[in-house]
Amino acid sequence: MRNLINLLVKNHRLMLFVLLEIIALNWLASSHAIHNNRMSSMGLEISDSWLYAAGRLESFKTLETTNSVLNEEISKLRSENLILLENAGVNCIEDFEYDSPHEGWFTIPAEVIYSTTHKKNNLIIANKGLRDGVNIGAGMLDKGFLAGRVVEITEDKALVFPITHIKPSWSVRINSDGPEGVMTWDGDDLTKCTVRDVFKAALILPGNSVITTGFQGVFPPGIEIGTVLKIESNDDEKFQTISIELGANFYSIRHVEFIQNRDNLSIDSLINSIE
Amino acid sequence: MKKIINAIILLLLALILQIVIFRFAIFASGWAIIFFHLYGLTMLPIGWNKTSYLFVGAITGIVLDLCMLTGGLHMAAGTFLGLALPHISSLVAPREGFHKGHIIIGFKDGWARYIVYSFLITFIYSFSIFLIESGQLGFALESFGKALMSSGLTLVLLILTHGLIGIASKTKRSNVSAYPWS
Repeated sequence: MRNLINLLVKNHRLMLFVLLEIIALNWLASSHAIHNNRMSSMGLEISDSWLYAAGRLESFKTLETTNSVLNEEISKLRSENLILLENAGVNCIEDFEYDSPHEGWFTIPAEVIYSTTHKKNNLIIANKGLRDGVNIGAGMLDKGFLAGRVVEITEDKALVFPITHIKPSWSVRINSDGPEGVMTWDGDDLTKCTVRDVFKAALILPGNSVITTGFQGVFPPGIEIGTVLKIESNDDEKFQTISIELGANFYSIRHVEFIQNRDNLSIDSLINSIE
Repeated sequence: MKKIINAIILLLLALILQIVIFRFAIFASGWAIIFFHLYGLTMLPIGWNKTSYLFVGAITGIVLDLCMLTGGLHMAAGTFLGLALPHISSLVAPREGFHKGHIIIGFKDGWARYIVYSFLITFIYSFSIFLIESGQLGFALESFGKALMSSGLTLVLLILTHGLIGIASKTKRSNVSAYPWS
């Protein structure tokens, strides 16, 4: 308060000038219609532009929600489309494939028919299998976020280890050009995971995005996983531990997509030839 | 103190002349207007408290607005001039500066200095008036042109008045001579 008074005293001449100008312009506006109109229109323009800017900001804030709703809708429509094609007797696998935005990758829509959320070793079973073109090792996305990986498969069903399974670990990266780390699930909260082995020197802030590295071959690089919640590190350790909030919602998971690389078979055969 | 009273009397006289006579001095479809009351402001002593110039400018404007029914136009311009006045005087000051209470007079300080000082005052005032009157920044160029013409016309009148008053005061000599043999 004292600083404010000091500031006012220091700039008293300017304050007085502004006050006198306001009185003069107000007098002018009240006595001249043209000035009154111009001041009114100026006020309207300012309020209009302010409202426009605020509206754009508001719509930008809801963009994330809109995107995830659209993703869910797309997954749902693809699954329905698949069912309709099956009913119509179409058996060609290619008909169910969609090009992924990631070059060389394609997605197959599916529906979750069984999932657990209360165990340490949670499982998901989806209604697509070998017959539909899904292979072991295919990745699973929920609304575009990393959700799990196919570990067993039958002709018409796929068993998936979700990221909320305590055993698998996932290679992840913080931001598009940030440090890498290993993500695991602690077995407590279905909305959170932990990233370890991230160098302490790396600057990481809450809100940073966590994406796949693509090193495991299950997912292309850049698939979103979630956002950084908090960072923990001890003075003795060289690494920091990061808690992240998952983008996939395992409480309401239903319409999903399997993502696979078209070159997986040739890569496998290449690796096998060396071994 | 005498200087202050003289300056205020001169300002009042200039105001009266502006209200009574020069209010009708509008030429070239409003492009050239005489603001004679500015003569009173040019003759204000230098070195007062800066806030007092702000008040003098605002009060001068209020008087004009009340008498000429211009509704705040002269007050707004006068206030702005009051804010700028100390800066204008420091701009035209010689290297050693003016002493407190000095009045810029053409015969003493040189006509060039007086003309620059008066032109800056008249131009800033005229430009403020025309810009506020137009009410839009889009008319700034037109206001600039009007201000140039009006300040030129007013400046001529101020120089004439200043010269005439100066000559009159020079010819008015004291009856007591320091050299009685002359």
